[in-house]
Amino acid sequence: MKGANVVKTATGSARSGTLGAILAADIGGVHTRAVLLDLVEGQYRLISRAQALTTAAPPVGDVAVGLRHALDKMTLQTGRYFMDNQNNILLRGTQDGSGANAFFATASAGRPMRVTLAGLMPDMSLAAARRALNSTYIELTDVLSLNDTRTPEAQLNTLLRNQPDVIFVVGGTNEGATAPIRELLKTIRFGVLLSLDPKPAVLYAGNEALHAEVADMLRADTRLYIAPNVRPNLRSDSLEAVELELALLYGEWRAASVGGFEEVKSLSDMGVLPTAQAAANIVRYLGELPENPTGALLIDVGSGITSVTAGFKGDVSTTLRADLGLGISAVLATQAVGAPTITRWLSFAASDTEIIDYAWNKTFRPTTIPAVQRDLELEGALLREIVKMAVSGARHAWNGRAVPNRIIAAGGGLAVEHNPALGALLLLDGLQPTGVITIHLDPFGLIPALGAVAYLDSAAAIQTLDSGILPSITALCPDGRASGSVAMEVTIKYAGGREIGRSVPAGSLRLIPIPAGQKARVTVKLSRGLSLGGKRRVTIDVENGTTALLCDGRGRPISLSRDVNRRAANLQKWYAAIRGQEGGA
Amino acid sequence: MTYYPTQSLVVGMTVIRRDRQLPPGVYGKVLVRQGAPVQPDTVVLQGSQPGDFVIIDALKALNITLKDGGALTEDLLQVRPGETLDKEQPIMIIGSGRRARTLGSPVHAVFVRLEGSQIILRRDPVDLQIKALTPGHVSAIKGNESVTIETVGALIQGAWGNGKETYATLTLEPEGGIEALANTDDPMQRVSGTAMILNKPINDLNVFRFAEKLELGALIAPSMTSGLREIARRQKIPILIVEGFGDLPMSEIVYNLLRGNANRPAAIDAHEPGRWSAERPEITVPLSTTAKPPAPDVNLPLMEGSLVRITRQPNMGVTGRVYRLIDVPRPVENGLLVTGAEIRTANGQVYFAPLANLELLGRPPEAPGRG
Repeated sequence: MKGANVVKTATGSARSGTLGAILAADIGGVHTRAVLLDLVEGQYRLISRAQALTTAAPPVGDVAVGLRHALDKMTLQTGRYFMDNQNNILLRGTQDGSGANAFFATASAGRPMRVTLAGLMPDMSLAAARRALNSTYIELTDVLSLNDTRTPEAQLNTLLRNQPDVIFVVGGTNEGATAPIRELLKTIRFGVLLSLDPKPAVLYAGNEALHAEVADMLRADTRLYIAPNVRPNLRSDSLEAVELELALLYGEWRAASVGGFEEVKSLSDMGVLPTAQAAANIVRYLGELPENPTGALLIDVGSGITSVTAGFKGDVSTTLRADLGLGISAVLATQAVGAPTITRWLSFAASDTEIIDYAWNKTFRPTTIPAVQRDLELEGALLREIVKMAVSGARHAWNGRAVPNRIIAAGGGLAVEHNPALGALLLLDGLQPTGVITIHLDPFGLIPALGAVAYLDSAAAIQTLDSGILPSITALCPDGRASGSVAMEVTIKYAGGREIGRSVPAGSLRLIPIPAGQKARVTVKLSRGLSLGGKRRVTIDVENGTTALLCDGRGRPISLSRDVNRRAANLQKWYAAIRGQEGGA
Repeated sequence: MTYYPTQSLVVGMTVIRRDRQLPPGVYGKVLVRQGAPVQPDTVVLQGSQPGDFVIIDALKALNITLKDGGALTEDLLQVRPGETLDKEQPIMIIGSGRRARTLGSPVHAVFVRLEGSQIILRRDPVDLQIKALTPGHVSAIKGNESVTIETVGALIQGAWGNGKETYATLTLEPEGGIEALANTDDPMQRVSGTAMILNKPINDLNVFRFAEKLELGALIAPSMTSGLREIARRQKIPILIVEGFGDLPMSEIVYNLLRGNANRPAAIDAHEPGRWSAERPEITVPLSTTAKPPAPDVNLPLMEGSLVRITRQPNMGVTGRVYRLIDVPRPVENGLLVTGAEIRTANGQVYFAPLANLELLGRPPEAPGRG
């Protein structure tokens, strides 16, 4: 992943330099992942990574405890201490090399921030505000607008019942009328005055002519944040500043809420940033690189929330789905995709009740993993459909662009440390992309960590990213359908001169491991009916960090038989293939 | 390898501290003092769920306009903030004599404030009370909304509840099953009002009908098909599911603990878990003891000798002690490579399970307690 040493930050002020040793932690719904970056021969490199279960929930109820567990593991790996004798986390470094000089924290754990959105026109300022809200973990409790048919009294009572953490007010261009916003602000003011403590914070990003008036109206009664207008004129949105304000607001709210985030926030150089927003920095960067002409995509299927972030030449869009997740949101996800849809990925007949029961038990015990084939298939089926639904929902913001050929998979179900090909299979099945697809797996929470670091030291983030730290799989995914029994012939020529050839039967997958550190040139000859980017013969050079080549001879769209026995034969073959068993080919 | 697993509390004797709270948004007050003894039905908190607000535009209602710079002032008000108003009771009077205009309250409500020309009233609140649920004493009070009750006894955490709670005597389902009991002539004297521990999963609507006929106080089941969830939520009595949904047997360790406490009164808090909250349904059996036992251990690493429960198939529900920690990834039945542990059960069988699928129930026998 080579490219220009610039990350465009939300503040627009990327800085290159050295912070010294950098510790970053991502506190997810299930795992807390910590990474240590430091200079090696003048370049930032990943020194260590460790993870532990997140401890936000009772009986521990303090995320700093889980962070300490991860740091303990890091100490065992590196011999470097991150805590003193009193168990205080060491920052700003010490002369004996203990601790780190900087610390960044991102989080997606816990309930989302409840937001009531108030604005004027649904397709103007409110649409822009919704796009800004997509960058942060929020639950939208209500929308007040000019199209609202409720009385102000009904609006007020709903607002009070919902008990939002934040009221996000937008509306009006900077040259536009102010009267409708003033009316809206009256209801907001009543909402603030009549709310019990803690009163909702107010974020105002509407007509800038009203800034002083808004401050007079609300500052005495609640925490008021004022950001530039999300829709300063009729032609364009301006979201970056308000997205950063939302991120900081999220960090403050998160720190004040249960779970012990206050300590983590106090240690961090940037507070507690939303994971998705930090990760978007890296996706934006990748999407700008010339070697990624189709852009870059990050899919993070978490326990409670799924995020899809796409970067296309400087544009980045994030969509967060709080109803899709593989842990605490497994039941909602199953309901969203529908149990019958899940059965099409199963090699056995399963009733809707079995599928829903499975989802409930996953909700009760989100940290668990499938240890038998039946569970693996149930979980894999749900994951495929979550990926499909989440990306399908996100594509409205892509202006007709196709799924990018560079995809990063994150979340415990997709990015499985010891089983990378499993995540690749599930991703390919859910998205069914075509072409040469590079799949990076991020089981260590590196992408959000580097995205957070990039706010203060973009060079550190990019140098680490460019060192090939994420395990990668290159997938050859031809379009069409093979007319014969063989889908493709693959020849791999290593830099040392060794050459191997593999044949991939039609309808099958084949996983070919690439030895670590080997450079290789791959030539693919496709059978009639299949093509890669319109060609039947393609040569590619395998990237640094690639652990395997996944040859997908199933064509597109992937055919799944309605007959359970025929479907079982195929699915078993595909699962065997990603385990590297010959029976899969 | 140091691994801190998830934890479930299944403890025979411990100190239990539980917060009893008013729901969010409810004004209230604490009715007990710190250190005071409480019984399950002691009301510890009393509160009012606020009614909806009513906003009256006084200018519109009185059909008046103000001159530039004019304002409605508080001296026009006939009521004070916090005062309860009957319907049509005057709130504001403008003018005097025959030209006086009166604004009456449209509903029975509390006057909140005058804000500009808007009069804000609040409809009648709904009163509610929170009981202690378990015998013990008040160990802490937080503001006007939370009381901590401390008791000593057995504690068993479950997976799902229907949102109800009660204090009732634990009884075991007879060998013939709840159905046979419901069909006898006069079964109620024995089980009426009790919390029955079922041997089998609830896979049939009839179980609720039998419970109603027997006038049971609560049902505790190993598992239940999730299809009955909505019906279970509508039951008047607490339904507590120990293991999860589906056709799952009760863990031996849980069943043995419940059976050992049969015929003792217990607090059944069938809390319905929320997506974003980690509170779990639980059964507390108050027990008398001469020495105060330690509080449950939390934040413990998995060690050889740790008491654990396997939480996924295969061998879901099996309990035993960690025999050996395996930090080199090993394949499981579906081919995934995982780090895990070998678990030895009481009858000497050894099972391998991924670390992620182990729930800690207790420390190794020789490990020191917290005191």
